[in-house]
Amino acid sequence: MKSDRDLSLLETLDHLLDRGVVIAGEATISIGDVDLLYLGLNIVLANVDAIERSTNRKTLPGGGT
Amino acid sequence: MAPERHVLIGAHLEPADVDGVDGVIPITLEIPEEGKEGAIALTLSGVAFDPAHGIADRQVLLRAATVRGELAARATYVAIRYGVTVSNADEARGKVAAFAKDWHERLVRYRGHVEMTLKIGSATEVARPAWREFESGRAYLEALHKARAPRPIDPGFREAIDRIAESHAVERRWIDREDGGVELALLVRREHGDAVADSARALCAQFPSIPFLLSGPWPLEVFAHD
Repeated sequence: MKSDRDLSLLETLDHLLDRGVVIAGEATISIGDVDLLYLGLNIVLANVDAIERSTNRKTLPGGGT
Repeated sequence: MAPERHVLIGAHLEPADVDGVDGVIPITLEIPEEGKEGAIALTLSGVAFDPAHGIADRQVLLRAATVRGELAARATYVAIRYGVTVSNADEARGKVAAFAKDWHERLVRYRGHVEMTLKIGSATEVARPAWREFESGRAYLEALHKARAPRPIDPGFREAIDRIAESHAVERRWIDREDGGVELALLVRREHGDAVADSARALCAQFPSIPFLLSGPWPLEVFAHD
């Protein structure tokens, strides 16, 4: 169970990252040299199905796909 | 401004609204209004960050979240979605000029108001469909869409929160959440915040099986635009 303090921090971060006026075409969040998230896009498309498939493929036993 | 970068937090009506808040970099702007002689005065708040680390740095995120809350406790402001970065006032002016007139009008109109958010979870959890169980992508997407569609709220609970909104809110907006829950954004006078919280506490006892979360005060987020 999360404490009130954890909940408060989670809620605050949720509002920070997901609320407010979007100024289009802004800011790439990066860790190292890898771009993780592009904020401010009007549409984000991701083939979740393909990502899941790719992730599962790596963990199959015996190297099979 | 120092030659470093800042991630913007919000737009404020008065410079005093940000003065003295620890960690805030104020950026005061005069933005010429098209077709008029005068200029729109706005103060932006920012938080400094090291460009080498970027804005995903944990300390920057936590500092921005803290500052955001402290500014909301101080006065009404328009929240800017995390991610807009500037080095100086000229760059800031270029990025926010298109919003300045609208923001200024809202800041005047909603001065003394805060947002409160009531997130209402779905009482019946619907599992995300597994793509392996579908023969076609279309069928999978339809099932995914269905699983994410908002579930109806208990009518009694809905009536109770409508009563809270009618008593305290000057404006309200319902928002469907991707997880099947719904959210009610309330714009209330700052001094009504405690009364809204008290009413929400009473709902906990009255509807113990309905998961919900009330939070606030927040800056203008949902009501920062139409």
